[in-house]
Amino acid sequence: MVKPGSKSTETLYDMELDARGWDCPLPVIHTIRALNRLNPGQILRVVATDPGSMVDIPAYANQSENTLLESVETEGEFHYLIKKG
Amino acid sequence: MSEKKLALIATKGTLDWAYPPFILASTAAALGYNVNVFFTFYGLQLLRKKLDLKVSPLGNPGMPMPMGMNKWFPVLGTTIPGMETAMTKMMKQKIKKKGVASIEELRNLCIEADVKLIGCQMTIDLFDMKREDFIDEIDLGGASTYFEFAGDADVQLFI
Repeated sequence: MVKPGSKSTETLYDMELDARGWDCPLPVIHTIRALNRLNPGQILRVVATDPGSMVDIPAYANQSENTLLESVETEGEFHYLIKKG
Repeated sequence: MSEKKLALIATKGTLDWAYPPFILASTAAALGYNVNVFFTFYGLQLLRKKLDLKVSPLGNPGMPMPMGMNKWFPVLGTTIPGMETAMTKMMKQKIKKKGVASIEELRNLCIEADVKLIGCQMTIDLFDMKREDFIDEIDLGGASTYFEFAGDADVQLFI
């Protein structure tokens, strides 16, 4: 699940969370837990299949000190890049 | 950021209604809230060591049923013995298939995140329940225990 320094198609990230197959509230809870393990400035990539995450992940980012850099839907999957604040 | 507080009262003891308090509590705890949940009356079923939660179509016209049964199946039919077990089994299969967390899983997330789970002492006395029937991680308390926390909580919900 954790691939430090891996390269996605566009951006470097420090950790990846595979949230595929999970429904609310698990994608957000595990996203928060993963971010808690990062240092400020590091980037988490999240891959989810829950369509609700398209609303919930930005809603989480808005109430935290972290920044949602990117959210993309591709082939039924949702990809997020979140920078730890 | 100063810590926010969430106070919930959980009063229902069915599989479907077990979700809202545990989903909200686990999410709030992950968001950094200090969370207390007060379990009273049937809500205490959610704190048992061995969870045996069921869902019933009886008296629940809003419940989606297979083959559109809620449209044509006589209401009296929902009282047939075994109906509750069958619906519970179907619901659990659906929960698993859709990737929705089990109640045990959400409850564990709450415990790991230090959500305070409070069982209502009066309910335990009323129904002759035993402390040993419930998980070790709970505290017991009453109405004033709830208000000690809820009095200055940012969010309070009765479920």
